[in-house]
Amino acid sequence: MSPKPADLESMIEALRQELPSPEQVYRAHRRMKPRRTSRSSLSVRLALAGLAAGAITYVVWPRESTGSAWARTLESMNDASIVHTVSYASNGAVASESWISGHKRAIVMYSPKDHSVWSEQRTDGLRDYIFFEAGLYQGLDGKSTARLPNARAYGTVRTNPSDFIQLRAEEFEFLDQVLQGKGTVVKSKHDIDTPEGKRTLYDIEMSYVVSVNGKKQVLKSNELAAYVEPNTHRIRRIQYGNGGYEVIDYPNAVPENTFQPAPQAFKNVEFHDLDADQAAVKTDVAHGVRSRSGVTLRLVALDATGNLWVLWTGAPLPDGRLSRPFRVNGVRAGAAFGPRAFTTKFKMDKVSGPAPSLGTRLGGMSRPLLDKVRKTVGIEVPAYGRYIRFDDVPIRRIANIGSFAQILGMRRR
Amino acid sequence: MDDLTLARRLSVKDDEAGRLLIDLHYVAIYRFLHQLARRVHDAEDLAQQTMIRVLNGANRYDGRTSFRAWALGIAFHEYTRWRRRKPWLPLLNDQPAPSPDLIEAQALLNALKRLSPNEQAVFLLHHVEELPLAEIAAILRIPEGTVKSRLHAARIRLRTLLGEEEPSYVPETCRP
Repeated sequence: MSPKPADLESMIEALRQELPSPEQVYRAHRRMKPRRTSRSSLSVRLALAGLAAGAITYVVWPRESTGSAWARTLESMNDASIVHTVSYASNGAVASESWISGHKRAIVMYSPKDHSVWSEQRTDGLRDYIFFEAGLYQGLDGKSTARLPNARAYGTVRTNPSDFIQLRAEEFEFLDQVLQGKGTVVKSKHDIDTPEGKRTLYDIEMSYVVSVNGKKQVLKSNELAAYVEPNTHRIRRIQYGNGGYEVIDYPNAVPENTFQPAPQAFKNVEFHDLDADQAAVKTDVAHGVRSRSGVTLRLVALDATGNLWVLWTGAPLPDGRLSRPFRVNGVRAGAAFGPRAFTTKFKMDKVSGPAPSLGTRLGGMSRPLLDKVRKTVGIEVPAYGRYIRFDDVPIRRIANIGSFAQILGMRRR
Repeated sequence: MDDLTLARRLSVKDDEAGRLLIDLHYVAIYRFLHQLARRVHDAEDLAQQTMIRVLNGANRYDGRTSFRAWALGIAFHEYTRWRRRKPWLPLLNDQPAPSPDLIEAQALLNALKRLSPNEQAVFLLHHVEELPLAEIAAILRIPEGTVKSRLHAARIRLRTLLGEEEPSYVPETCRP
Protein backbone atom coordinates (compact mmCIF):
# COMPACT_ATOMS: atom_id res chain seq x y z
CA MET A 1 0.00 0.00 0.00
CA SER A 2 1.52 3.36 -0.96
CA PRO A 3 1.99 5.89 1.81
CA LYS A 4 -0.57 8.64 1.98
CA PRO A 5 0.85 11.95 0.68
CA ALA A 6 0.19 13.54 4.08
CA ASP A 7 2.26 10.82 5.82
CA LEU A 8 5.21 11.22 3.48
CA GLU A 9 5.03 14.99 3.73
CA SER A 10 4.95 14.86 7.52
CA MET A 11 7.99 12.55 7.50
CA ILE A 12 9.82 14.94 5.20
CA GLU A 13 8.83 17.84 7.46
CA ALA A 14 10.24 15.91 10.44
CA LEU A 15 13.54 15.58 8.58
CA ARG A 16 13.51 19.31 7.84
CA GLN A 17 13.11 20.05 11.54
CA GLU A 18 16.18 18.07 12.57
CA LEU A 19 18.71 20.21 14.40
CA PRO A 20 22.08 19.47 15.91
CA SER A 21 22.22 19.83 19.68
CA PRO A 22 23.67 23.03 21.19
CA GLU A 23 26.60 20.91 22.40
CA GLN A 24 27.30 19.81 18.85
CA VAL A 25 27.20 23.38 17.59
CA TYR A 26 29.50 24.40 20.42
CA ARG A 27 31.96 21.66 19.46
CA ALA A 28 31.79 22.79 15.84
CA HIS A 29 32.75 26.31 16.90
CA ARG A 30 35.63 25.06 19.01
CA ARG A 31 37.00 22.84 16.30
CA MET A 32 36.81 25.61 13.75
CA LYS A 33 39.35 27.77 15.53
CA PRO A 34 42.51 27.73 13.40
CA ARG A 35 45.59 25.77 14.31
CA ARG A 36 48.60 27.82 13.33
CA THR A 37 52.19 26.88 12.88
CA SER A 38 54.92 29.41 12.92
CA ARG A 39 58.67 29.42 12.59
CA SER A 40 61.69 31.74 12.34
CA SER A 41 61.25 34.86 14.48
CA LEU A 42 58.64 33.15 16.52
CA SER A 43 61.13 30.50 17.63
CA VAL A 44 62.94 33.21 19.61
CA ARG A 45 59.76 34.15 21.37
CA LEU A 46 59.02 30.51 21.94
CA ALA A 47 62.36 30.09 23.67
CA LEU A 48 61.46 32.96 25.95
CA ALA A 49 58.19 31.31 26.76
CA GLY A 50 59.99 28.07 27.45
CA LEU A 51 58.51 26.27 24.48
CA ALA A 52 60.43 23.98 22.14
CA ALA A 53 61.64 25.59 18.90
CA GLY A 54 60.75 24.38 15.47
CA ALA A 55 57.34 23.79 13.99
CA ILE A 56 54.99 24.27 16.88
CA THR A 57 51.27 23.89 16.78
CA TYR A 58 49.25 26.48 18.66
CA VAL A 59 45.62 26.31 19.38
CA VAL A 60 43.40 28.87 20.96
CA TRP A 61 41.85 28.62 24.40
CA PRO A 62 40.72 26.04 25.36
CA ARG A 63 43.87 24.44 24.00
CA GLU A 64 46.19 21.46 24.15
CA SER A 65 49.37 21.19 26.19
CA THR A 66 52.67 22.42 24.86
CA GLY A 67 54.60 21.55 27.99
CA SER A 68 55.41 25.08 29.11
CA ALA A 69 54.57 26.62 32.44
CA TRP A 70 52.28 29.02 30.65
CA ALA A 71 50.53 26.20 28.85
CA ARG A 72 50.08 24.40 32.19
CA THR A 73 48.40 27.55 33.43
CA LEU A 74 45.98 27.54 30.58
CA GLU A 75 45.33 23.83 30.96
CA SER A 76 44.57 24.34 34.60
CA MET A 77 42.04 27.03 33.74
CA ASN A 78 40.45 24.76 31.19
CA ASP A 79 40.06 22.06 33.83
CA ALA A 80 38.22 24.37 36.17
CA SER A 81 34.54 23.67 36.30
CA ILE A 82 33.61 27.31 36.92
CA VAL A 83 35.60 30.46 36.13
CA HIS A 84 34.33 33.63 37.73
CA THR A 85 35.79 36.99 36.68
CA VAL A 86 35.15 40.51 37.91
CA SER A 87 36.55 43.24 35.67
CA TYR A 88 37.42 46.64 37.10
CA ALA A 89 38.04 49.97 35.40
CA SER A 90 41.13 51.95 36.31
CA ASN A 91 39.12 53.95 38.87
CA GLY A 92 38.17 50.76 40.67
CA ALA A 93 34.56 50.71 39.41
CA VAL A 94 33.22 47.30 38.46
CA ALA A 95 32.88 47.12 34.67
CA SER A 96 31.56 43.58 34.31
CA GLU A 97 31.16 40.25 36.01
CA SER A 98 31.14 36.92 34.21
CA TRP A 99 30.87 33.20 34.84
CA ILE A 100 31.86 30.31 32.61
CA SER A 101 31.07 26.65 33.16
CA GLY A 102 31.62 24.59 30.04
CA HIS A 103 29.19 25.92 27.48
CA LYS A 104 27.18 27.77 30.11
CA ARG A 105 28.02 31.46 30.20
CA ALA A 106 26.80 34.57 31.92
CA ILE A 107 28.01 38.16 31.82
CA VAL A 108 26.63 41.34 33.31
CA MET A 109 28.02 44.69 32.19
CA TYR A 110 27.73 47.92 34.17
CA SER A 111 27.73 51.57 33.23
CA PRO A 112 30.91 53.22 34.55
CA LYS A 113 28.89 56.33 35.45
CA ASP A 114 26.21 55.03 37.75
CA HIS A 115 26.89 51.30 37.96
CA SER A 116 23.55 50.55 36.33
CA VAL A 117 23.26 47.38 34.27
CA TRP A 118 23.37 48.13 30.58
CA SER A 119 23.75 44.59 29.29
CA GLU A 120 23.05 41.13 30.66
CA GLN A 121 23.57 37.85 28.81
CA ARG A 122 23.11 34.32 30.11
CA THR A 123 22.99 30.91 28.49
CA ASP A 124 22.47 27.43 29.85
CA GLY A 125 23.90 25.97 26.67
CA LEU A 126 20.46 25.44 25.18
CA ARG A 127 18.83 28.85 25.23
CA ASP A 128 20.30 32.24 25.76
CA TYR A 129 18.96 35.48 27.19
CA ILE A 130 20.22 38.86 26.06
CA PHE A 131 19.22 42.23 27.47
CA PHE A 132 19.88 45.51 25.71
CA GLU A 133 18.89 49.08 26.26
CA ALA A 134 16.91 50.33 23.28
CA GLY A 135 18.80 52.41 20.76
CA LEU A 136 18.54 56.10 20.12
CA TYR A 137 16.88 57.77 17.16
CA GLN A 138 18.56 60.27 14.88
CA GLY A 139 16.26 63.23 14.46
CA LEU A 140 15.06 64.44 11.06
CA ASP A 141 17.28 67.51 11.35
CA GLY A 142 20.27 65.18 11.40
CA LYS A 143 21.48 66.66 14.68
CA SER A 144 19.31 65.82 17.56
CA THR A 145 19.19 62.39 19.07
CA ALA A 146 16.40 61.36 21.31
CA ARG A 147 14.79 58.22 22.53
CA LEU A 148 11.53 57.64 20.69
CA PRO A 149 8.35 57.70 22.82
CA ASN A 150 7.74 53.99 22.25
CA ALA A 151 11.36 52.87 22.76
CA ARG A 152 11.88 50.41 25.55
CA ALA A 153 14.54 48.22 27.09
CA TYR A 154 14.07 44.61 26.16
CA GLY A 155 15.35 41.15 26.88
CA THR A 156 15.29 38.33 24.37
CA VAL A 157 15.34 34.61 25.00
CA ARG A 158 16.05 32.26 22.14
CA THR A 159 17.33 28.82 21.31
CA ASN A 160 20.66 28.30 19.50
CA PRO A 161 23.06 30.31 21.59
CA SER A 162 26.02 29.51 19.36
CA ASP A 163 27.00 33.13 18.68
CA PHE A 164 26.81 33.97 22.37
CA ILE A 165 29.16 31.19 23.38
CA GLN A 166 32.15 33.09 22.02
CA LEU A 167 31.45 36.08 24.28
CA ARG A 168 33.71 35.16 27.15
CA ALA A 169 36.45 33.83 24.84
CA GLU A 170 36.85 37.38 23.52
CA GLU A 171 37.60 38.61 27.02
CA PHE A 172 40.46 36.15 27.20
CA GLU A 173 41.66 37.03 23.74
CA PHE A 174 45.11 37.86 25.00
CA LEU A 175 45.59 34.19 25.90
CA ASP A 176 45.05 33.38 22.25
CA GLN A 177 47.57 36.04 21.27
CA VAL A 178 50.36 34.37 23.25
CA LEU A 179 50.20 30.99 21.63
CA GLN A 180 49.08 32.15 18.21
CA GLY A 181 52.27 34.11 17.91
CA LYS A 182 50.44 37.27 16.95
CA GLY A 183 53.27 39.44 18.20
CA THR A 184 52.67 38.54 21.83
CA VAL A 185 55.70 37.89 23.97
CA VAL A 186 56.05 36.64 27.49
CA LYS A 187 58.74 39.11 28.49
CA SER A 188 59.51 37.82 31.92
CA LYS A 189 58.36 35.51 34.65
CA HIS A 190 59.19 35.62 38.31
CA ASP A 191 57.76 34.75 41.72
CA ILE A 192 56.42 37.49 43.97
CA ASP A 193 54.49 37.91 47.19
CA THR A 194 51.15 39.70 47.04
CA PRO A 195 48.50 40.46 49.68
CA GLU A 196 46.59 37.48 48.31
CA GLY A 197 49.57 35.14 48.62
CA LYS A 198 52.50 33.93 46.55
CA ARG A 199 52.09 34.36 42.83
CA THR A 200 54.09 33.81 39.63
CA LEU A 201 54.00 37.02 37.65
CA TYR A 202 54.08 36.88 33.83
CA ASP A 203 54.82 40.17 32.09
CA ILE A 204 53.28 40.04 28.64
CA GLU A 205 53.65 42.42 25.73
CA MET A 206 50.83 42.08 23.28
CA SER A 207 50.03 43.32 19.80
CA TYR A 208 46.75 42.65 18.06
CA VAL A 209 46.83 41.57 14.47
CA VAL A 210 43.54 42.32 12.79
CA SER A 211 42.34 41.93 9.27
CA VAL A 212 40.92 45.11 7.73
CA ASN A 213 39.57 44.85 4.17
CA GLY A 214 41.65 41.73 3.75
CA LYS A 215 44.89 43.38 4.87
CA LYS A 216 46.56 42.54 8.14
CA GLN A 217 47.32 45.45 10.44
CA VAL A 218 49.20 45.47 13.71
CA LEU A 219 47.48 47.55 16.36
CA LYS A 220 49.19 49.28 19.22
CA SER A 221 50.91 47.00 21.71
CA ASN A 222 49.45 46.51 25.13
CA GLU A 223 51.28 45.42 28.19
CA LEU A 224 49.66 43.37 30.87
CA ALA A 225 50.61 41.24 33.78
CA ALA A 226 49.09 37.90 34.74
CA TYR A 227 49.35 36.71 38.34
CA VAL A 228 49.28 32.94 38.53
CA GLU A 229 48.80 30.84 41.65
CA PRO A 230 51.90 28.60 41.80
CA ASN A 231 50.30 25.47 43.23
CA THR A 232 47.17 25.44 41.05
CA HIS A 233 48.68 27.16 37.98
CA ARG A 234 45.54 29.26 37.69
CA ILE A 235 45.43 32.93 36.77
CA ARG A 236 44.07 34.93 39.71
CA ARG A 237 44.55 38.48 38.50
CA ILE A 238 45.22 40.26 35.24
CA GLN A 239 46.52 43.82 35.34
CA TYR A 240 46.20 45.92 32.18
CA GLY A 241 48.42 48.78 31.10
CA ASN A 242 45.52 51.26 31.23
CA GLY A 243 45.01 50.60 34.92
CA GLY A 244 42.05 48.26 34.61
CA TYR A 245 42.29 44.79 36.06
CA GLU A 246 40.45 41.50 36.44
CA VAL A 247 40.15 39.30 39.48
CA ILE A 248 39.47 35.64 38.76
CA ASP A 249 38.36 32.87 41.07
CA TYR A 250 37.23 29.28 40.57
CA PRO A 251 34.26 28.49 42.80
CA ASN A 252 33.04 24.93 43.19
CA ALA A 253 29.46 26.05 42.78
CA VAL A 254 27.41 29.08 41.84
CA PRO A 255 23.75 29.91 42.47
CA GLU A 256 21.38 27.75 40.43
CA ASN A 257 19.99 30.65 38.44
CA THR A 258 23.35 32.07 37.32
CA PHE A 259 23.05 30.51 33.88
CA GLN A 260 19.29 30.57 33.70
CA PRO A 261 18.29 32.38 30.49
CA ALA A 262 16.02 34.94 32.14
CA PRO A 263 16.31 38.53 33.38
CA GLN A 264 18.02 38.69 36.76
CA ALA A 265 20.31 41.66 37.16
CA PHE A 266 17.81 43.92 35.40
CA LYS A 267 14.28 42.72 35.92
CA ASN A 268 12.17 45.61 34.63
CA VAL A 269 12.40 44.69 30.98
CA GLU A 270 10.00 43.84 28.23
CA PHE A 271 10.55 40.15 27.72
CA HIS A 272 10.62 38.57 24.27
CA ASP A 273 10.70 34.84 23.71
CA LEU A 274 12.17 34.95 20.25
CA ASP A 275 11.14 31.43 19.39
CA ALA A 276 7.53 32.27 20.21
CA ASP A 277 7.75 35.65 18.46
CA GLN A 278 9.07 34.02 15.32
CA ALA A 279 6.25 31.48 15.32
CA ALA A 280 3.71 34.28 15.76
CA VAL A 281 5.16 36.43 12.97
CA LYS A 282 5.25 33.37 10.73
CA THR A 283 1.52 32.92 11.33
CA ASP A 284 0.81 36.61 10.73
CA VAL A 285 2.64 36.55 7.42
CA ALA A 286 1.08 33.29 6.25
CA HIS A 287 -2.51 34.12 7.18
CA GLY A 288 -2.49 37.91 7.11
CA VAL A 289 -3.40 40.33 9.88
CA ARG A 290 -6.15 42.23 8.10
CA SER A 291 -7.45 42.37 4.51
CA ARG A 292 -9.32 45.03 2.62
CA SER A 293 -9.83 45.90 -1.04
CA GLY A 294 -7.37 43.21 -2.10
CA VAL A 295 -4.60 44.43 0.18
CA THR A 296 -3.52 42.22 3.07
CA LEU A 297 -1.45 43.44 5.98
CA ARG A 298 1.16 40.79 6.77
CA LEU A 299 3.06 42.47 9.61
CA VAL A 300 2.25 45.45 11.83
CA ALA A 301 4.97 45.53 14.45
CA LEU A 302 6.52 48.05 16.81
CA ASP A 303 10.21 47.37 17.44
CA ALA A 304 12.00 48.12 20.68
CA THR A 305 13.52 51.29 19.26
CA GLY A 306 10.03 52.68 18.63
CA ASN A 307 9.70 52.19 14.87
CA LEU A 308 6.49 50.85 13.35
CA TRP A 309 6.95 48.26 10.60
CA VAL A 310 4.10 47.70 8.15
CA LEU A 311 4.40 45.04 5.46
CA TRP A 312 1.72 44.01 2.98
CA THR A 313 0.78 42.08 -0.14
CA GLY A 314 -1.83 42.83 -2.75
CA ALA A 315 -0.58 46.34 -3.43
CA PRO A 316 2.36 47.38 -5.60
CA LEU A 317 5.76 47.37 -3.95
CA PRO A 318 6.77 50.83 -2.71
CA ASP A 319 9.27 52.64 -4.90
CA GLY A 320 12.89 52.70 -3.80
CA ARG A 321 12.67 56.27 -2.52
CA LEU A 322 9.62 55.42 -0.39
CA SER A 323 7.94 58.50 -1.81
CA ARG A 324 4.49 57.37 -0.60
CA PRO A 325 4.94 56.13 2.96
CA PHE A 326 2.15 54.50 4.87
CA ARG A 327 0.17 56.80 7.16
CA VAL A 328 -0.58 56.31 10.82
CA ASN A 329 -3.86 57.92 11.83
CA GLY A 330 -3.68 60.30 14.76
CA VAL A 331 0.03 59.62 15.37
CA ARG A 332 2.96 61.68 14.17
CA ALA A 333 5.52 59.62 12.31
CA GLY A 334 9.03 60.34 11.06
CA ALA A 335 10.58 59.67 7.66
CA ALA A 336 10.08 56.21 6.19
CA PHE A 337 13.03 53.85 5.91
CA GLY A 338 13.62 50.17 5.37
CA PRO A 339 15.45 47.51 3.38
CA ARG A 340 15.27 47.46 -0.40
CA ALA A 341 13.93 43.91 -0.14
CA PHE A 342 10.47 45.38 0.43
CA THR A 343 10.57 47.84 -2.46
CA THR A 344 10.79 47.90 -6.25
CA LYS A 345 14.57 47.96 -5.79
CA PHE A 346 14.64 44.42 -4.40
CA LYS A 347 17.01 43.24 -7.11
CA MET A 348 19.72 45.31 -5.48
CA ASP A 349 19.30 43.22 -2.35
CA LYS A 350 20.75 39.92 -3.48
CA VAL A 351 20.28 38.05 -0.22
CA SER A 352 16.53 38.69 -0.12
CA GLY A 353 13.70 36.73 -1.65
CA PRO A 354 9.96 36.10 -1.42
CA ALA A 355 8.48 35.40 1.99
CA PRO A 356 8.85 31.59 2.13
CA SER A 357 5.33 30.93 3.42
CA LEU A 358 3.75 32.96 0.61
CA GLY A 359 6.11 32.59 -2.31
CA THR A 360 5.73 36.30 -2.99
CA ARG A 361 7.60 39.38 -1.86
CA LEU A 362 6.30 41.59 0.89
CA GLY A 363 6.08 45.32 0.32
CA GLY A 364 6.47 47.90 3.02
CA MET A 365 8.69 49.99 5.21
CA SER A 366 9.13 51.39 8.69
CA ARG A 367 8.51 54.78 10.26
CA PRO A 368 9.59 56.04 13.68
CA LEU A 369 6.52 56.97 15.73
CA LEU A 370 6.82 60.35 17.41
CA ASP A 371 3.82 59.86 19.71
CA LYS A 372 3.05 57.07 22.11
CA VAL A 373 0.69 54.37 20.87
CA ARG A 374 -1.36 51.76 22.64
CA LYS A 375 -2.35 48.31 21.46
CA THR A 376 -3.94 49.22 18.15
CA VAL A 377 -3.37 51.77 15.42
CA GLY A 378 -5.12 53.02 12.30
CA ILE A 379 -3.02 52.62 9.15
CA GLU A 380 -3.37 53.73 5.55
CA VAL A 381 -1.41 51.77 2.96
CA PRO A 382 -0.57 53.27 -0.46
CA ALA A 383 -2.14 51.25 -3.26
CA TYR A 384 -2.91 52.10 -6.90
CA GLY A 385 -2.89 55.88 -6.53
CA ARG A 386 -4.95 55.98 -3.35
CA TYR A 387 -4.73 54.82 0.25
CA ILE A 388 -6.43 51.77 1.73
CA ARG A 389 -7.47 52.40 5.31
CA PHE A 390 -7.31 49.86 8.12
CA ASP A 391 -8.73 50.83 11.52
CA ASP A 392 -7.76 49.47 14.92
CA VAL A 393 -5.04 47.14 13.70
CA PRO A 394 -3.42 45.28 16.61
CA ILE A 395 0.28 46.11 16.99
CA ARG A 396 2.69 43.26 17.54
CA ARG A 397 5.58 44.25 19.78
CA ILE A 398 8.94 42.86 18.69
CA ALA A 399 12.51 43.41 19.74
CA ASN A 400 14.21 43.77 16.39
CA ILE A 401 13.05 43.21 12.79
CA GLY A 402 16.29 41.39 11.99
CA SER A 403 15.17 38.43 14.10
CA PHE A 404 12.53 37.69 11.45
CA ALA A 405 14.70 38.18 8.40
CA GLN A 406 14.13 34.73 6.93
CA ILE A 407 10.40 34.70 7.63
CA LEU A 408 9.94 38.04 5.88
CA GLY A 409 12.23 37.28 2.96
CA MET A 410 14.87 39.80 4.02
CA ARG A 411 17.33 36.94 3.91
CA ARG A 412 17.00 33.67 2.09
CA ARG A 413 17.98 30.54 4.00
CA MET B 1 26.61 39.53 5.02
CA ASP B 2 26.06 38.26 1.47
CA ASP B 3 27.51 34.96 0.26
CA LEU B 4 30.38 36.41 -1.75
CA THR B 5 31.49 38.62 1.14
CA LEU B 6 31.36 35.66 3.48
CA ALA B 7 33.47 33.61 1.11
CA ARG B 8 35.97 36.42 0.66
CA ARG B 9 36.35 36.88 4.41
CA LEU B 10 36.63 33.16 4.99
CA SER B 11 39.42 33.00 2.45
CA VAL B 12 41.45 35.45 4.56
CA LYS B 13 40.63 33.43 7.69
CA ASP B 14 38.54 36.18 9.25
CA ASP B 15 37.40 34.93 12.68
CA GLU B 16 34.00 36.54 12.55
CA ALA B 17 33.36 34.98 9.16
CA GLY B 18 34.35 31.61 10.59
CA ARG B 19 31.76 32.02 13.32
CA LEU B 20 29.15 33.07 10.80
CA LEU B 21 29.94 30.01 8.72
CA ILE B 22 28.91 27.79 11.62
CA ASP B 23 25.94 29.96 12.60
CA LEU B 24 24.49 30.08 9.11
CA HIS B 25 25.37 26.75 7.58
CA TYR B 26 26.33 24.13 10.15
CA VAL B 27 22.73 23.06 10.79
CA ALA B 28 22.01 22.25 7.15
CA ILE B 29 25.35 20.52 6.61
CA TYR B 30 25.06 18.39 9.74
CA ARG B 31 21.42 17.50 9.04
CA PHE B 32 22.19 16.46 5.47
CA LEU B 33 25.17 14.34 6.52
CA HIS B 34 23.35 12.79 9.45
CA GLN B 35 20.48 11.77 7.22
CA LEU B 36 22.98 10.22 4.80
CA ALA B 37 25.37 8.60 7.24
CA ARG B 38 22.78 7.90 9.98
CA ARG B 39 25.27 7.99 12.88
CA VAL B 40 25.80 11.11 14.96
CA HIS B 41 29.54 10.53 15.35
CA ASP B 42 30.08 10.00 11.66
CA ALA B 43 27.92 12.99 10.78
CA GLU B 44 29.83 15.25 13.17
CA ASP B 45 33.17 14.14 11.79
CA LEU B 46 32.00 14.57 8.23
CA ALA B 47 30.50 17.97 9.03
CA GLN B 48 33.79 19.07 10.54
CA GLN B 49 35.73 17.89 7.50
CA THR B 50 33.23 19.72 5.31
CA MET B 51 33.69 22.93 7.27
CA ILE B 52 37.44 22.71 6.90
CA ARG B 53 37.17 22.13 3.16
CA VAL B 54 34.73 25.03 2.87
CA LEU B 55 37.14 27.24 4.79
CA ASN B 56 40.14 26.20 2.71
CA GLY B 57 38.26 26.40 -0.56
CA ALA B 58 36.32 29.61 0.08
CA ASN B 59 38.43 31.51 -2.44
CA ARG B 60 37.01 29.25 -5.16
CA TYR B 61 33.37 30.10 -4.42
CA ASP B 62 32.11 32.08 -7.41
CA GLY B 63 28.53 32.89 -6.41
CA ARG B 64 26.86 30.88 -9.16
CA THR B 65 24.91 29.01 -6.50
CA SER B 66 24.02 30.03 -2.97
CA PHE B 67 26.83 29.52 -0.48
CA ARG B 68 24.67 27.04 1.37
CA ALA B 69 24.18 24.93 -1.74
CA TRP B 70 27.90 25.07 -2.51
CA ALA B 71 28.74 23.90 1.00
CA LEU B 72 26.20 21.08 0.77
CA GLY B 73 27.86 19.98 -2.45
CA ILE B 74 31.16 19.76 -0.60
CA ALA B 75 29.43 17.82 2.16
CA PHE B 76 28.16 15.23 -0.31
CA HIS B 77 31.63 14.92 -1.78
CA GLU B 78 33.02 14.27 1.72
CA TYR B 79 30.32 11.68 2.29
CA THR B 80 31.14 9.76 -0.89
CA ARG B 81 34.85 9.80 -0.03
CA TRP B 82 34.02 8.50 3.42
CA ARG B 83 31.84 5.72 1.98
CA ARG B 84 34.66 4.54 -0.21
CA ARG B 85 36.95 4.29 2.82
CA LYS B 86 34.43 2.39 4.96
CA PRO B 87 34.40 -1.41 4.92
CA TRP B 88 31.72 -2.35 2.42
CA LEU B 89 30.44 -5.34 4.34
CA PRO B 90 27.70 -4.12 6.68
CA LEU B 91 28.04 -5.38 10.24
CA LEU B 92 25.07 -7.50 11.16
CA ASN B 93 24.21 -5.79 14.42
CA ASP B 94 25.57 -2.38 13.52
CA GLN B 95 22.31 -0.52 13.21
CA PRO B 96 22.19 3.17 14.02
CA ALA B 97 20.13 3.94 17.10
CA PRO B 98 16.98 5.85 16.15
CA SER B 99 17.32 9.50 17.05
CA PRO B 100 14.44 10.71 19.26
CA ASP B 101 13.93 13.68 16.95
CA LEU B 102 13.53 11.47 13.91
CA ILE B 103 11.33 8.67 15.17
CA GLU B 104 8.46 9.99 13.12
CA ALA B 105 10.60 9.84 10.01
CA GLN B 106 12.27 6.52 10.76
CA ALA B 107 10.39 4.65 8.04
CA LEU B 108 11.44 7.24 5.48
CA LEU B 109 15.08 7.13 6.62
CA ASN B 110 15.10 3.33 6.41
CA ALA B 111 13.63 3.48 2.93
CA LEU B 112 16.11 6.15 1.84
CA LYS B 113 18.94 3.89 2.89
CA ARG B 114 17.92 1.46 0.21
CA LEU B 115 18.35 4.03 -2.52
CA SER B 116 21.66 4.74 -4.16
CA PRO B 117 23.72 7.56 -2.58
CA ASN B 118 23.05 9.73 -5.62
CA GLU B 119 19.29 9.24 -5.32
CA GLN B 120 19.42 9.87 -1.57
CA ALA B 121 21.37 13.05 -2.15
CA VAL B 122 19.01 14.59 -4.70
CA PHE B 123 15.99 13.61 -2.61
CA LEU B 124 17.40 15.14 0.58
CA LEU B 125 18.77 18.21 -1.15
CA HIS B 126 15.48 18.94 -2.91
CA HIS B 127 12.87 17.91 -0.35
CA VAL B 128 14.63 18.49 2.96
CA GLU B 129 17.14 21.21 2.20
CA GLU B 130 14.72 22.66 -0.38
CA LEU B 131 17.32 23.47 -2.99
CA PRO B 132 16.06 24.20 -6.50
CA LEU B 133 16.89 21.60 -9.16
CA ALA B 134 19.24 23.97 -10.96
CA GLU B 135 21.37 24.42 -7.85
CA ILE B 136 21.45 20.70 -7.17
CA ALA B 137 22.62 20.14 -10.73
CA ALA B 138 25.33 22.77 -10.32
CA ILE B 139 26.75 21.46 -7.04
CA LEU B 140 26.62 17.79 -8.05
CA ARG B 141 27.94 18.69 -11.51
CA ILE B 142 25.30 16.78 -13.39
CA PRO B 143 22.75 17.93 -15.93
CA GLU B 144 19.45 19.18 -14.57
CA GLY B 145 17.72 16.43 -16.50
CA THR B 146 19.71 13.86 -14.56
CA VAL B 147 18.63 15.47 -11.30
CA LYS B 148 15.01 15.23 -12.40
CA SER B 149 15.30 11.61 -13.39
CA ARG B 150 17.06 10.63 -10.16
CA LEU B 151 14.44 12.47 -8.16
CA HIS B 152 11.67 10.77 -10.06
CA ALA B 153 13.27 7.36 -9.55
CA ALA B 154 13.76 8.08 -5.85
CA ARG B 155 10.14 9.06 -5.37
CA ILE B 156 8.83 5.95 -7.14
CA ARG B 157 11.14 3.66 -5.20
CA LEU B 158 10.27 5.31 -1.88
CA ARG B 159 6.54 4.97 -2.53
CA THR B 160 7.05 1.28 -3.15
CA LEU B 161 9.29 0.77 -0.13
CA LEU B 162 7.10 2.73 2.24
CA GLY B 163 4.06 0.92 1.06
CA GLU B 164 5.68 -2.49 1.60
CA GLU B 165 7.67 -2.40 4.77
CA GLU B 166 6.97 -2.20 8.50
CA PRO B 167 8.95 0.41 10.41
CA SER B 168 12.18 -1.12 11.72
CA TYR B 169 11.91 0.75 15.01
CA VAL B 170 9.15 -0.46 17.28
CA PRO B 171 8.22 1.96 20.06
CA GLU B 172 8.57 0.63 23.60
CA THR B 173 4.84 0.72 24.18
CA CYS B 174 4.19 -1.60 21.25
CA ARG B 175 6.62 -4.33 22.21
CA PRO B 176 5.17 -7.48 23.74
